[in-house]
Amino acid sequence: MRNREPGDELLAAALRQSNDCPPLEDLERLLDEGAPTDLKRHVDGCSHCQTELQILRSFTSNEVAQHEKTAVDAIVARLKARSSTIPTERRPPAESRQPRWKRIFEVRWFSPAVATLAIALVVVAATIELRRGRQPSVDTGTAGLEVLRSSSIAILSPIGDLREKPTEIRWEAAPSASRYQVRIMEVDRAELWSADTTSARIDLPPSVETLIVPSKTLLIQVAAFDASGQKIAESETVRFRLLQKVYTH
Amino acid sequence: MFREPPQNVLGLCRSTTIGLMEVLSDEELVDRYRVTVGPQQERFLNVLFERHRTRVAAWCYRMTGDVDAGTDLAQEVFLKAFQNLESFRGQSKFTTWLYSIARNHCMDALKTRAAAPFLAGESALERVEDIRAGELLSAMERREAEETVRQLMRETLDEIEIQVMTLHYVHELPLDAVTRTLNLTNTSGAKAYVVSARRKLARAFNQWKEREERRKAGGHAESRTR
Repeated sequence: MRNREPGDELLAAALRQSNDCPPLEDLERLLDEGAPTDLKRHVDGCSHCQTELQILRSFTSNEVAQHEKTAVDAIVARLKARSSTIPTERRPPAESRQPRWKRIFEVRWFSPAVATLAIALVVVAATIELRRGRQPSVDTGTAGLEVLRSSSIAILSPIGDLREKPTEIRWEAAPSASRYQVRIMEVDRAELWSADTTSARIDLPPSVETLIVPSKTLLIQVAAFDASGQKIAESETVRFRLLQKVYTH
Repeated sequence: MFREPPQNVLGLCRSTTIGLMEVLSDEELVDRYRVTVGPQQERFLNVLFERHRTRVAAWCYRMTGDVDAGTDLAQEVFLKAFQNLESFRGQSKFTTWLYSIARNHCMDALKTRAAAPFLAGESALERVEDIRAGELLSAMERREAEETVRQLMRETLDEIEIQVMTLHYVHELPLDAVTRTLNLTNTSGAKAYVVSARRKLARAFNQWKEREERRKAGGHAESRTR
């Protein structure tokens, strides 16, 4: 194996990205119609960008050639096996503090002995946790009440960081719901306000608006009930926060 | 701000068995992931994983040519993406963002795993005296030399040769990875394109040199007659 020679270096320099080359987020516009003319003109004359575009296109197209299909299918199958332990139920508190992305590829060794050991560890962890006196984490309160995907309600607004104080809460209507219960909570799920309504929206009363102060995160949850009073659907617990105003003058 | 799904889509979800998750775009799924609290966050990751696992698996296989190594890399790509999901700002499509993670991660991994990744697999590559960098660099400034080489490549190389050369010499991908990434089906794969490109460049360089010598000679003759 040899190192780069001066000729290789010169080739690489001539093929390398220049200052005029657009970033990937601009280049991706060429995959769709309507890319700006000056962008097209640059790419037409730039071998580096043409190559970048070609490999981006091959990635986004999601096409697998016949000769590589067996290998790709095998990788997908292994990935699925590694991700098949994605939990669909609420886990014990000590485990649920782990970032969720890490759990995607966890391997579950579920023998009775391991299960016993795991329970013992959870008890120890929970004890240590209590002794440390940490701030309570956000408790979604869905233990044993996991609502099926098909019967969940999507909260439409307010969600995330907001520039303006919200005046209402809106959500996707649930079929056969005759009543909704709306709750606003602190991040530790202490209830601040609750109300019932028959429509898929509710105005926030002035008393609630005063609770919405800049930088304070609040949670919302909506539950739907049928005519018999049975809970038929529930939303995810979503958070929102009023952004702090920044004055530049 | 959260993008609301169109009302007709919500209507479709309600009237059929299609779940809301399936009709949300990748970017909307990430938005939902950000604002959701609790274990339901995982549902959004699951949908993203299901949508993109084949393209990530294919990319990682093309980089490594090996199912074991490809699986490990694909897993690392997803973990990296999910770990950094908060940094996705929607300035590009989610697929493009994921691509940049997959590309950088795999290329870094190839460099780390090979002691000298550059030209790995090129030991048998025929060495071609092409642009003779020493001659060029002694005759002109480096930037001018680069522009000259760029010009020669534009004039002589075809699209696939340029792509092979860029992936191999700029991104330092081994030739077999270039072959798989560009789906080259000829017997020798990327190696044949590199050899062909360098031969073309060698011819083009000789012609360019002759032109330059004639030009200089013409310039001297003209100055003598004055």
